[in-house]
Amino acid sequence: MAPTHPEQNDPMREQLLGYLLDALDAEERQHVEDELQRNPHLQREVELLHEALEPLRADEAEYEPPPRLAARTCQFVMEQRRRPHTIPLGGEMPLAPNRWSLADLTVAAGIFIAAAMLFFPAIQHSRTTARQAACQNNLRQLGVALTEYSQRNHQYFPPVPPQGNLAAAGVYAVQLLDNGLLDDPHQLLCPATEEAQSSEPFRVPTAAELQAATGRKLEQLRRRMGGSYGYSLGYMTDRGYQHVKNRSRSSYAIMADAPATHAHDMASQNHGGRGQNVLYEDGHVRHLVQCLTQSCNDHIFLNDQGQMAAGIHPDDAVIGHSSATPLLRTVGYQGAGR
Amino acid sequence: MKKAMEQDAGTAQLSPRPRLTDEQLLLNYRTSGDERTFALLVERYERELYSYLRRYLGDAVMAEDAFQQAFLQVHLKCDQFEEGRKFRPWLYTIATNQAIDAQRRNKRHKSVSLDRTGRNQKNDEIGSLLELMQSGDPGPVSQLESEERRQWVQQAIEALPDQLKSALNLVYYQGLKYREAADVLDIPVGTVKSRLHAAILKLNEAWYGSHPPGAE
Repeated sequence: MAPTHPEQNDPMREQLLGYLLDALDAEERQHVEDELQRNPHLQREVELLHEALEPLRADEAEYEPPPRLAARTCQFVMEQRRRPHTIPLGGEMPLAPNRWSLADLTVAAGIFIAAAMLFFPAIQHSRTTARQAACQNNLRQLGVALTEYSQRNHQYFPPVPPQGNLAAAGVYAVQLLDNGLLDDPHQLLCPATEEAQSSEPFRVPTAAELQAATGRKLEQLRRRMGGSYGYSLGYMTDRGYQHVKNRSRSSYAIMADAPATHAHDMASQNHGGRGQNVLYEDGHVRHLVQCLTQSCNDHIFLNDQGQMAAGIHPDDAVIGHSSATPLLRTVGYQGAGR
Repeated sequence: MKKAMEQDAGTAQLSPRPRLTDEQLLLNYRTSGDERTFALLVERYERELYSYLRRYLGDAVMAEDAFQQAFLQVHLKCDQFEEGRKFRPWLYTIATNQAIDAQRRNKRHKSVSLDRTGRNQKNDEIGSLLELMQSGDPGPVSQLESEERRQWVQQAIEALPDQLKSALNLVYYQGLKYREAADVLDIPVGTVKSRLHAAILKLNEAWYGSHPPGAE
């Protein structure tokens, strides 16, 4: 085997590689074939690339699937398909002949409306309470994952880098998932939000995907990756920007229902503007009707200078929405840190 | 026996039924919910998709799990499949996402696993050195058998950055077109081309680094 080292990363060589692997469209393929006929130098390039693929040929055999994989998969899917419905969907129920008169229907409708007026607020209230409780449960589980992360990382919670593609509060989700500390990304969605009820899949990008993304795609990833929760943006000291260390403080907010981007007081809209659930450093979760912590009147979404950015001292907790960055470009934070 | 022969003769007279495309099967399943149609689709991709996931995840159990989850997603999302689109890249997109999720779930266990090759290159070197010592070959590099060679390739691919590995798996091993792989990975076609080229380049450098041509 001759030592063939393709040295340049030029587009023609990539096309030739695609030609060898049959990865080109018909039009591209035709173009490469025309070029090959014209240019003997390219024919030599194809030979070199062919030799460059030689080592890979040692591992070309397909893996044998386990016995009855297809059959077991179908069985698994069909079981899942049947599970949620006790009455078959689309199946027609035998209808009894209609013996109801118009008067009966009017009376029944009246009773139904009266009952609905009586019970609807109660049903609505219990549904709201149930979703609020489910949201608190999500935050508690996220609290466990964050604590485990801090125990593995010298007591530091997942850091939000001050610059670069990863510089957004929602990066906490990427780090929890990439470290295997969260089983299901749907725990990042507050059950009261439309996103949690949508059939659209929710997926958190990997750190590598974020690093590779640019422009609008990067913006989209950063906006969605934190789910419906906000995360701590760290704080500034004389030594510059600092990540949050787990000191198990009962008054330091580390996560919360994400703040609204438009409301003047930043109150979260996850629960229809009726307040927000907040996870504190010691792992307890509390529902706050306003955006201020009860013990020290600290605004959880704004720092002591009234900005959604890193706190201005170690006890100034600020929860930013998924795409919020710790350092504002227009504000003199860089100066404050030096 | 006679009956069977008659049946055969009867079948031979019928014109061959055109094979439905993957897209037609999926759309049929979407409208009819027919389990046999779905089963046909799973059977078509049993070997190919399992092989892809097995290579991607490097673990048979995880690959099987991801395979089942991928087809569960096919069932759940078949309403979102746009007519005119190709099924194969769509399936690979779903399967790749399942594989990424499986990797994340397994990360905790992976760090303590003793029987699986880690990403750490140092460990790889130690592993291969141990194997070579056990084999007792005096000049192992020049006497690599095909199995050892296969293992070398697998380890070298495992050591590639994830982005390069994905492009290599989809285009080289699974035979996807550049355009299809770009669709699966949600990146520009040019990026797939350069990643594949970079992967081949790196593997080649590694190969000739450890197997100098003069030694063969």
